[in-house]
Amino acid sequence: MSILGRKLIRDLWQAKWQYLSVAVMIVLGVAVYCAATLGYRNLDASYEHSYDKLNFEDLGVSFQSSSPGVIAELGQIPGVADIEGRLVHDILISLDADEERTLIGRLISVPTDRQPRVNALKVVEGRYLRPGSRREVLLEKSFAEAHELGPGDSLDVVEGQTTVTFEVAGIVISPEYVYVVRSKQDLIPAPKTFGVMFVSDQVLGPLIGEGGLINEARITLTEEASLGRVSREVERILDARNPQEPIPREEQPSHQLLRQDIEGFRVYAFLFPLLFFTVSGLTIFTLLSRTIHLQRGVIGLLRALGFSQFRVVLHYLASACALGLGSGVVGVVLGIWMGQIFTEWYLSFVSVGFVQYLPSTDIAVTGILIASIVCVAAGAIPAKSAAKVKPAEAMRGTEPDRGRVWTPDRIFPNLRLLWRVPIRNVFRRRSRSLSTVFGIVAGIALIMSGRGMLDSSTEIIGTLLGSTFEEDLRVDFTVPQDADVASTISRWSGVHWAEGTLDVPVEFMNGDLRYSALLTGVETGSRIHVVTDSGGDRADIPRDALLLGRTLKSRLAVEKGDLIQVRLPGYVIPEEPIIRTVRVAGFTADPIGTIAYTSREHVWDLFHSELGLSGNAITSLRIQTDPVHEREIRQRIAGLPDASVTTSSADLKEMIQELMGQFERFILVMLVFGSLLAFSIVFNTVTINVLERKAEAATLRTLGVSRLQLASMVTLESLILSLIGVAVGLPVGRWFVGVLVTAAQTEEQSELFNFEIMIYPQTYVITALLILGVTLISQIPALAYIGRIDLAKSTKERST
Amino acid sequence: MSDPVVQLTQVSKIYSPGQAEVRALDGVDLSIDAGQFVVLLGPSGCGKSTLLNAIGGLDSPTAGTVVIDGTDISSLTDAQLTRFRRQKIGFIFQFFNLVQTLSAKENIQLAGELVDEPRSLAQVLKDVRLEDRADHVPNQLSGGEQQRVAIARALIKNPPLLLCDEPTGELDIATGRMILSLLRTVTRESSQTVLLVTHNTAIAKMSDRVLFMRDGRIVEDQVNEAPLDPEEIDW
Repeated sequence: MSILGRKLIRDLWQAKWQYLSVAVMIVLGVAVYCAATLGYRNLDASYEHSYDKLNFEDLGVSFQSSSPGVIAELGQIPGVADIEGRLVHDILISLDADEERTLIGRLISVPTDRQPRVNALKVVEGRYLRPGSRREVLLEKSFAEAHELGPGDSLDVVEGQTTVTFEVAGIVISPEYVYVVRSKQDLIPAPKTFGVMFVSDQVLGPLIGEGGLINEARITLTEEASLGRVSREVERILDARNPQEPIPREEQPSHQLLRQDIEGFRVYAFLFPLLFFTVSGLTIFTLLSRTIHLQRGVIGLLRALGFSQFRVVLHYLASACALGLGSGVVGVVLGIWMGQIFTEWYLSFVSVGFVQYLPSTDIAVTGILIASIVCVAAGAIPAKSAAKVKPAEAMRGTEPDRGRVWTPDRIFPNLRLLWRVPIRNVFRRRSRSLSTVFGIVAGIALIMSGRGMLDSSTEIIGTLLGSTFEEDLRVDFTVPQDADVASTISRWSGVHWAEGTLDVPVEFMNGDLRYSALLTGVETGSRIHVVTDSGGDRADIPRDALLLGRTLKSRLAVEKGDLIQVRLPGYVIPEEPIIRTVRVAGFTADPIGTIAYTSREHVWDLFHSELGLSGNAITSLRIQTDPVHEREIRQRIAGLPDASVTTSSADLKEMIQELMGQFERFILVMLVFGSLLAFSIVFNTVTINVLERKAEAATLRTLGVSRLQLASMVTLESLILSLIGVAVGLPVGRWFVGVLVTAAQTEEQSELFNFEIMIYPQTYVITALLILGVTLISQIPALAYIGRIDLAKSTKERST
Repeated sequence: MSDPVVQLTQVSKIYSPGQAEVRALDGVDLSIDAGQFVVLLGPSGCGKSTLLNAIGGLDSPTAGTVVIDGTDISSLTDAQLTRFRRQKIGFIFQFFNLVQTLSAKENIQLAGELVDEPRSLAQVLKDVRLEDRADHVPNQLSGGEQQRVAIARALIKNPPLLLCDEPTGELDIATGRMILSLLRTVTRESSQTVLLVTHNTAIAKMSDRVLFMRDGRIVEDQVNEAPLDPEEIDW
């Protein structure tokens, strides 16, 4: 090995802890890149493969119950590859194990002699329905898991006055319900309260009084087909059957949530490593600059001996390159392992039919390349400056005059000089301080990204289910009821307040623009529906006009005062489409922007004859209860006809806890990574600072400055940097959470969800305390070093 | 007669790097009276700096006692040694060792802040003739100016003993003379004791007393009856 090679190894060994801390940052950057990219790719491939194998729909349409003959007609549309007609009906489920509540179920008809041509099912347990089977169902996997149901178990389906017991034949995965969400208005997966079941087409029709009919068509297209053209043709053919707007795959609720996740991973695979690599690059720059500064004399000697500039550059770049390659390899190994773990973890709470693990060679190579490029690029400037060192000047030890720098301690004229020194040190080495602050800010951004996402998610659920509807229980009826039921329930023991709403799924139209959403009729003077306008103030629900959610506003391109049309799809067989014209009175700031509010009387006015509504009809109830009596009230509600508790404050708490459980690992990983990042950068900065000021520290000690005072000076310097980092980092962290959320959402999703970024105060406090704690810990090695400084020797060294 | 400022009795310092034993100080006895300007001479590695460090409380002797201004520092704890250095010792180093972020005035003040009754900053600045350079930071000062700041930093604490380790080693002849002259003048005025370590024999001519060291021992102790003015010394 050449002499310079040996010197390189010894240099690395001498600063091994500093290089190691930089290596940790690079390892984490590469690992996060590999894990997120691998996870993103595996999930994307798994979905695509599952969609492909199960022939997931490209287009779905609901219409009034019709003869299956229409399917043959739809199948003739050019571009249609496969089509399946079916009957879909929401009912109530009663489980033996859960006596106090009934649940909402969705029955979907499937043929028994074969799999559905579109949206086929993967049987994961038990078997598919047998031809002629009558009282058998296939249960969607997440609902079955949530209620611990398996083949051979039974459950009761309640339709009107009829209760039918079904036996579970098998547990299935459907590409339509990878995320089990009920509709666009209920985008939070709730496998505990909503279950999807597949029954024989020979059973469902007669059960709901629609034997031999269908009300949905699910379609796949050929590769060359035009979605828009097929969609228009479908609507034309179904025109007389009062169809809802056909929903393309991109707007299918489960698929939308999946895309949101995948898009999120893609963004994380870019943003998180970017933080690590930027901080690593800055630290390598600082570390190498410092090494070169300390070795100016050696460099001068090398140049004087005849080593070329190129050789000197190569010598110093080699350490950066070695760091990049070594860390890259370790990061790749760790990242691929993390990617596998992550994929398995994610797939454990979604129902993907077929899991695919893709080869990761290219990701590994890219990870190592990125690490090497970052290191070499960061080391290039200091290495180049090493080559420019003038031998004679370097060996004399003279340095360019830095002059005097203004520092903020001058604001405090009475401050002791002992405390001025650390303040001035921060502002004297501005680029180093800036890179340290940047590293701390990056650490904060990472820590806050985990907790911030949780806070925002908790907030949206809380707003949606807690504040917007200040209710403890929500009861949905499968058949409209008289509002007297609200008065009756109000008198129950433990009920503080109950009021009804009249909810009707409709299609809003403004010229050619159309959007299917929920029209909610609210009691006049509602105590439970607290609807806010875009300014955050409480909005009064108008008697004869609409308050629209933001999605509706943008999709329909309407302004306050405009008149829009409201169409009632698929309830009864009409002579002509049921369309009403209504004025837009304003807009709401609801988290889910697909709800339109008006008075209950207005909804009744609009559609009572078509829907056969009694004069005082409601479709759901919102109840405020005494928590002590909630279980008892739920049991009484379960005894009401056609009623089901769909959400409750207890459910809400459980949901938030589940969400926290799912987030826990993510938060923990981000917390550890963020802390490590902050630790590495502060450790490096403090160590470099102490090393280069060894003579200064020793001099202060000889003057009579105690170890404690000296340690306090070093600590003050670190804390100043840390506090600046925290002051900048907390708002940046909040902004970063916003970037993550925005970047991970598609345009349609951001329209659908009004995802306001919310960071709770405790998150700021925890993050700040964590960073300050990490700062204090990361300087322990440097403080220990100060304690070991040989005063006699160090005071004889030339100050650097 | 007053007690000596420095009183060393059979002081030894033995290093054991590896298996070999190095006796840096070998039974040194030394007594220095208040107000004396003592120069310690000797070749490299003879133990000059080790002796200076032992007297300054930067290093502990392996054996023997070191009494400085009435305090036996041989068995002091680290915290006690720190207080001792703060009150009793002024150090002047070859490389000046100024705090780069502080101006000349502030470097001096920093030391003043450590003691209860420091000397007047204005007076000290005047003594070292730095009034017009007081607000400059170290890298704006020449070597001689920096060493004058270092002297002022030692003086402001008003210690009974000044320890100077090759204070002219980094300076040219003219500046070196000027620094020695200044050091001699200001310490004589305040009756401070000075122990100056150097390998430059010419400097001995300005001292009251010259000690010669070899192999960890003081081999010669000369009193200089007619010290020269530093400006008259040629080296």
